[in-house]
Amino acid sequence: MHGGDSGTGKWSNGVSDDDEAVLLGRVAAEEVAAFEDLYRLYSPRLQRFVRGITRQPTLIEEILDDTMMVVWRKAYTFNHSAKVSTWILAIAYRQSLKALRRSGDAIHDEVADHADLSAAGPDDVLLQQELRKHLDAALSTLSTEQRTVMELTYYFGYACREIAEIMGCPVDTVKTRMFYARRKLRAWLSSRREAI
Amino acid sequence: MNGRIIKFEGPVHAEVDRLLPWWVNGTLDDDERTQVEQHVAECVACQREIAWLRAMQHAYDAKDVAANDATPALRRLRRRVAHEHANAIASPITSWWHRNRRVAWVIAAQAVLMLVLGGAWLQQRAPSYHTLSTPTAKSELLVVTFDPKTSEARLRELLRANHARLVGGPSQTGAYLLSVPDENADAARQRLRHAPEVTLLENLDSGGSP
Repeated sequence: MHGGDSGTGKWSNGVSDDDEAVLLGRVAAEEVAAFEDLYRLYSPRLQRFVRGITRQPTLIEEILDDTMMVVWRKAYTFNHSAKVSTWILAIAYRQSLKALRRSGDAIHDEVADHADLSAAGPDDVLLQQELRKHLDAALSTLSTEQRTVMELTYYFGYACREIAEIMGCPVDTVKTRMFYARRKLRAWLSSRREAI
Repeated sequence: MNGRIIKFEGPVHAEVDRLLPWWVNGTLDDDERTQVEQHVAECVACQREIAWLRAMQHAYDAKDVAANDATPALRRLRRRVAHEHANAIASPITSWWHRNRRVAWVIAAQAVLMLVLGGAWLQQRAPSYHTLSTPTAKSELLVVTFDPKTSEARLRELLRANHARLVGGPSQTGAYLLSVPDENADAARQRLRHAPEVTLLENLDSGGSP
């Protein structure tokens, strides 16, 4: 991965950023066929993204539909200052937070995370093996925002600045969320290994 | 957002540590990458952290899952888009208002001003008079999408049989807006719903239910 594969290379299906901008322009002109093409192009990555950050399979369908309807209504506001993928994922992120609030799921638990800092210990091969086996369970201990930063960094390969755009927050906030997420994951895996 | 922000102004190790996830995913800019690589070459702790972060990345890649079939979702979205179009046909002013809110406010403000001034002027000049008007018959608005193969003759036939008037459309999605007198509305809806040429029927006045 190291080598600058920024953004959504693994999802592009040979469609360049410029092609995507043209496609979104056609959606802005209310071309239903273009909207359906855009949905097919984005559905896999949106499903993955929403599933990764919400951890609630029952919400995915609703969030995807709502996200794409916002894309349909607001396509004319896209101003080319960001990539189409960043713009759409930002909408999906906001819709996910809304859906989680509606379903009564806690979103902000970053304050409680601060207590975990002292638990960070040395890592080793065993810890990495634990991580591979139990990543899902470990990720469920993070806040929605922390999971979002992790997902966008490790799975989608976005730069810190792009993640800040998607989440609508300063770059330092992204770094802070990642910092606590790493510490918390490591602490959870260490305590799990000790308990065995 | 109530998350506490840490200012990363400490020693080089702390700064580099915060950048490592994006060094691993290859998205740092040149300056940051040089800073990280110079430090990592001499820092055992950072080298171990990189091994851990790479394991994290591999674990993420390994938990990939297949995406669902897009067909049912596209069907749902088509329906929602058609419904929005139908609403836009029924209320083009509303649609335009949403897209040009600022201009709309200016025009609305000017219109109000003109009405106030015009009203004052008429009150001074015009003698009072009365008009008699016949109340218009009440009607129901239906959003209908026909099979694209439907001939014009058949379309006309369906409209006549249901006492329906075409008041809008076709939209981008092929939806038409029909006006049906209230007294014929129930029967018209029943007949149109069962007509093989009708692929979508919604009652605009009842929030979209057929």
